[in-house]
Amino acid sequence: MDDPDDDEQLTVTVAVEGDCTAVITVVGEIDIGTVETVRSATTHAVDDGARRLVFDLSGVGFIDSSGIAALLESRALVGSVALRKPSNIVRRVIETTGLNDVLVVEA
Amino acid sequence: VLVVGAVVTIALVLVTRAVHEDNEDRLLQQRAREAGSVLTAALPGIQTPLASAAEVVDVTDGTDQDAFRRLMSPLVDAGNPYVSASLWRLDDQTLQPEIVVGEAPKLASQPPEVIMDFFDRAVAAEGLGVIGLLDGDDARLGYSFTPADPTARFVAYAEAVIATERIAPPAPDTAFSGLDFAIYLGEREDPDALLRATTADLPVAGRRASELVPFGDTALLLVTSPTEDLGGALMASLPWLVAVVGVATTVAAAALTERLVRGRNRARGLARENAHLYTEQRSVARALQQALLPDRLPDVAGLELAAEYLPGAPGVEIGGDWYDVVPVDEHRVVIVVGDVSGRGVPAATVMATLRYTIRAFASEGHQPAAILSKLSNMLDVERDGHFATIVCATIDVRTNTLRIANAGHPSPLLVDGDTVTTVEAPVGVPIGVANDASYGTFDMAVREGSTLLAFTDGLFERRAESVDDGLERLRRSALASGGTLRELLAGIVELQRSPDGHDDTAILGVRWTTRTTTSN
Repeated sequence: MDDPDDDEQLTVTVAVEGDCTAVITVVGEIDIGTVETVRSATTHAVDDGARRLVFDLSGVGFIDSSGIAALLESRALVGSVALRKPSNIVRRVIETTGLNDVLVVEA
Repeated sequence: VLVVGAVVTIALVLVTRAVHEDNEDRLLQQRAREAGSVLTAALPGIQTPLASAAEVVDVTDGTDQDAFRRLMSPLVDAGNPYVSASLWRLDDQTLQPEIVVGEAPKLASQPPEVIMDFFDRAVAAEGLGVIGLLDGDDARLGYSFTPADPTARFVAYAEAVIATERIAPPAPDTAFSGLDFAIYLGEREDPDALLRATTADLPVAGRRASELVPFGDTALLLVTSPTEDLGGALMASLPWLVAVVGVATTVAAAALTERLVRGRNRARGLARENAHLYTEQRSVARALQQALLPDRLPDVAGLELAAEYLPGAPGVEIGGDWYDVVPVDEHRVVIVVGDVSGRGVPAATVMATLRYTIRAFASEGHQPAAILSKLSNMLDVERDGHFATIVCATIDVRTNTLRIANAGHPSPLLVDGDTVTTVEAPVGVPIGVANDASYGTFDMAVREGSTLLAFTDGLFERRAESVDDGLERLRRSALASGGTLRELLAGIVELQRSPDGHDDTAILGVRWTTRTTTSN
């Protein structure tokens, strides 16, 4: 449904690295109102042949549980999902949600 | 109705230790009553959309048939239990629907006297009428709503399909195994009115107990034959009951109701100002959430319990936050606070299922870590699109101890005089992320007068602020608030009120009091 007073901006950029890695760079706040953008970019990247996903979350200032769910769901699409440079805010959300060993920061 | 008092907790102990038939029967009655209260709470959710749709047509004097079509189409969308919605004129002698959305109503192919009986009964009931159309392969339940207004000329009617396999054993090795039961529509064990049974050997034989649950203008009859740990098993069948006839329909209906409320207002030309609209939407969401949360918290000697649920900002969909307190025996309760990711009807459905499943596991006497571990197989974020964070603790009032396990949930706080400490149970993965996940537990002794606060992240989460800063603010709010437990919760909620106020919030408070009675 429409959400007229939402002034949060979210941008998603997909870049291809190497053969089959899609780097999905999200800038903005990921919440129930914006998460579909992330989800559809992820699906497209996989449809285009990505077999590994890297989410660059350095520019994410807020993530709610629906954003975390989208990251977790993407594991069903590809063999490997990793995070890149998560902001402190994102990192603490992942830690307090017990997902340190599930949503792993790339080596 | 959800009075799970001392009688039941004592009964539970006896069941798990030395099985005694009287107590089992009492326990069964209690469980059936709980099932009944859930079903009863769910009914407004079924009747509201029907009532609203009937009103739209009534208000437009039957001329705006498109409105009915437009409003009912979402109800019969794929994925909903309803397959057919129709509008009937009470003064129409042909006994055929005026408008049909989705499949043809099975009611229309019934003999005229059956249709007339049903509408007479429904009109007399001035509310929700239920009819079983259970013969043949295509078994359905029909729901009608007749407004109390004596001049009303229309009845909105919808049909939901019943699973074709009505006799099926419960899946082995689940919480559902170990109990035979049969559910009938109506007050008699009529084979033609069977909705679901776990055995083909009907009527249910052996030691048996039955309970009538009000259901619209009729009733559901539950007949069970306890084969083992009765309380747990029937309790465990609650998620099924809820899913089939109760909450799933409610939550499906609630989403529609929001749309209908808007549609009805439009028809009356009242929907000009958003504030009005939001208030209505919000009250629907609030009513639904209240149907899914405990009616009241149990009385536990030695503990004071209080809880608050705050719906999200106006216009925001219902959330998946909940709290619960489950008595285990006369000394122990399990407390739960959980949060399903996402919003809306799907999140609320997951929430209802998790809540009732936890009640089943908890009343069977499982420890918090085991409850969470069993639960971890019930949800899969990759399949279902949701995960849940849950904190679950057993409190023993005899020993003033707390045993806590945590599946990715914000840690509770313990307020003791002028100190506020975080109860740092080891944090395991959320439910829905890994199968057979294992959870650590943390035990602590609690002093009388201390207060445990368990809550969902809506209480402290703010945009552009770290989790730690948010929790620190919450600790300060807890220190700045005081008085009775209710005053403490109210004070915290007030201080934590967020300017963007987007998320819904649940908070549960447990205060250890000086016990006046120490034994029975």
